[in-house]
Amino acid sequence: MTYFLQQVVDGVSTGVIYALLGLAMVLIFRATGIINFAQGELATIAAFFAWQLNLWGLPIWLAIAATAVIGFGAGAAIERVVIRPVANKDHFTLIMVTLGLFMITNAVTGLVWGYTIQAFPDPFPVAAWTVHGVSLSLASVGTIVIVCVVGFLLYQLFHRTRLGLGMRAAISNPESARLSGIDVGRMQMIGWGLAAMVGTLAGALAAPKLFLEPNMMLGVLTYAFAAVIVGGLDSPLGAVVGGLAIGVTENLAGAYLYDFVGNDLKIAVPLALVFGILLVRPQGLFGRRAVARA
Amino acid sequence: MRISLRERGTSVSPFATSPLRTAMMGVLALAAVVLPFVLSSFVTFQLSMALIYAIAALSIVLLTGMNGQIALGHGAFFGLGAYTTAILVQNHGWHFLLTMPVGALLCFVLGVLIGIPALRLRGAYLAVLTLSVAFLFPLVIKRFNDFTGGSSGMTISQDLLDAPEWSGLSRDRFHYFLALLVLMVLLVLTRNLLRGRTGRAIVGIRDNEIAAITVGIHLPTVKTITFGISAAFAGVAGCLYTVTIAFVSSDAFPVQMSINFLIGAVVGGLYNIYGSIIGGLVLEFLPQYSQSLSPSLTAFVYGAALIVILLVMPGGAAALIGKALDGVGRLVSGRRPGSGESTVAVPVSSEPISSESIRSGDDDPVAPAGSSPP
Repeated sequence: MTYFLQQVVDGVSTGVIYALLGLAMVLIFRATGIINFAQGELATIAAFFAWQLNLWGLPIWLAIAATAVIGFGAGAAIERVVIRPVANKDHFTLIMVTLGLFMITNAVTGLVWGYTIQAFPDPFPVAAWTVHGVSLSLASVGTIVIVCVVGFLLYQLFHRTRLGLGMRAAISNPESARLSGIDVGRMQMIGWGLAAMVGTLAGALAAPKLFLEPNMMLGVLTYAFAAVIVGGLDSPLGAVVGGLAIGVTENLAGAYLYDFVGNDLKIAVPLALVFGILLVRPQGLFGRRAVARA
Repeated sequence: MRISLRERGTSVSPFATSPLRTAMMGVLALAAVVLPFVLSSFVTFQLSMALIYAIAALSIVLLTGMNGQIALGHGAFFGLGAYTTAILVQNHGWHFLLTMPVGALLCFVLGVLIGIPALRLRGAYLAVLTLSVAFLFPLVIKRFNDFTGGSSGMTISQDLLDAPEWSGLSRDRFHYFLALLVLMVLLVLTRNLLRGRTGRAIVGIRDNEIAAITVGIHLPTVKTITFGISAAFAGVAGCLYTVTIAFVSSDAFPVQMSINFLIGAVVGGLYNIYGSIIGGLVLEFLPQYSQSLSPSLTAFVYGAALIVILLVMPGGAAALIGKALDGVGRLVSGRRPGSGESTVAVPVSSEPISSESIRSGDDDPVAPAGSSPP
């Protein structure tokens, strides 16, 4: 039982990273209706930036905060320069453009910082508690708390503020939103900016575990995709639940199905589950079905 | 919703013919036959790889360009074909030519199996599903490493890949002509497929699924079979890859490879099957030059090219060449534009009729209500 609980706890602490990147994706999807393939790479470049600031002498938390603020601007700029010109195109073009963005970001990261693996300073002090034989590290607990806070704030933003209402209106019906005086373009810029901020956090919190290198987030990106898809692309709660579920399933599969799946293939188990769920509920567990009028 | 079926201005439909095009094809065919006897064996090897990537790009053109299903996982089918050849030749003593139908069949089956869940998924969801396949493939190879050699790989003895006696060719030249032959056969197959009833169904589904259903097209069959055929193409390319390179490892088929195939198809021209040849050449030769300048330059150029092409010239290089040829043709013949120069015999437009293109039609004031959902 202790072993099982330990596996669940470890799974949760990897799952929160997926959840955090998933939250960033949900933000972009809610702001612009795009699935952003570049989300992981943007998080990586942000992590590198924070690492660089830290190297220049800024305390790590300050470095992350500064990067998050700069990330907001960068995200908004990307929306304005790259996404806005294709905003009215079909979804194929949009996906391909974010794929292009993915490759460019990855290349720029490699160009600036190289491909040597770097150690990212742990923002949390090394400490752990043992509860009933289950060990909990401060880093895990801290990350979980951050994800919960971010998720809660996003929920509040979307459902309790005028800005959030405007953002929801802008994506659900741009035409009417514009007529009622909402600056749709600005809402989309804010969405991308916020997503970049959340992505920065995801990158900075994942980096101590994964080690910093340009392709660091490629795996996380795949799992985060799975998380938002299972949770529903437009649901922040879904992203968190989906991310945690994937982290836990992956870990349990590694622990209990080791003979069959081995260390390499344990991620296949949650991915298979995700697509099983998709076949039954294409809108995800928490998502709202899009109804199209012909 | 009214759909305008007005023929779009481009005449680069894969079926357009004109004396100039025929002449260009002739020159290219001649060059393709002569080049391996003129160039060094290394360049011949590179050209073989370009042809192999062209087959992979063709598989994307068929599935994504013609049928509208986004394919981000074709590296997995390519890899499956590659491992089929590697294992059958090295461990079971098969002749490499015989492994190609097996690789194609395996990939066809896997493609249909993945095509079935793909029926319920569109756009971004499908992209993520196929991306996951690409992501999982190297992990599966590593998992079964006693069978596949895992990340340390599997070398195929060179003498097992020698050219047959009767051909009288060196190994590199034989591999080159094999790849060339396969590409030509697949191009003709694809052309004939797209020309017929099935082809109209494939393209019709891309342009408007609901309309396609109402005219009696069985959507699930056409989509899964197209997925299977496309996967089989990628698989054959993978078989040829092993034959040419004589080495496979789990690291040779990263996610990036799948993305590159899609990029090759877009750069060459997603809506023209011959564009895949240009795509293959780009995928083989561009990294050779950019890599020597900086290791990250290739990805940067690919990414930038992708965005620029989609914004400026969605038809890719094929559309550009088509326009240039039309221009030259008009100059030569002195005919006015549109006087029978562009053949519109086949009711297949080369580019998809999206709701956006209808909306922005300058001579067509149709504005359908509601934009397409993301």
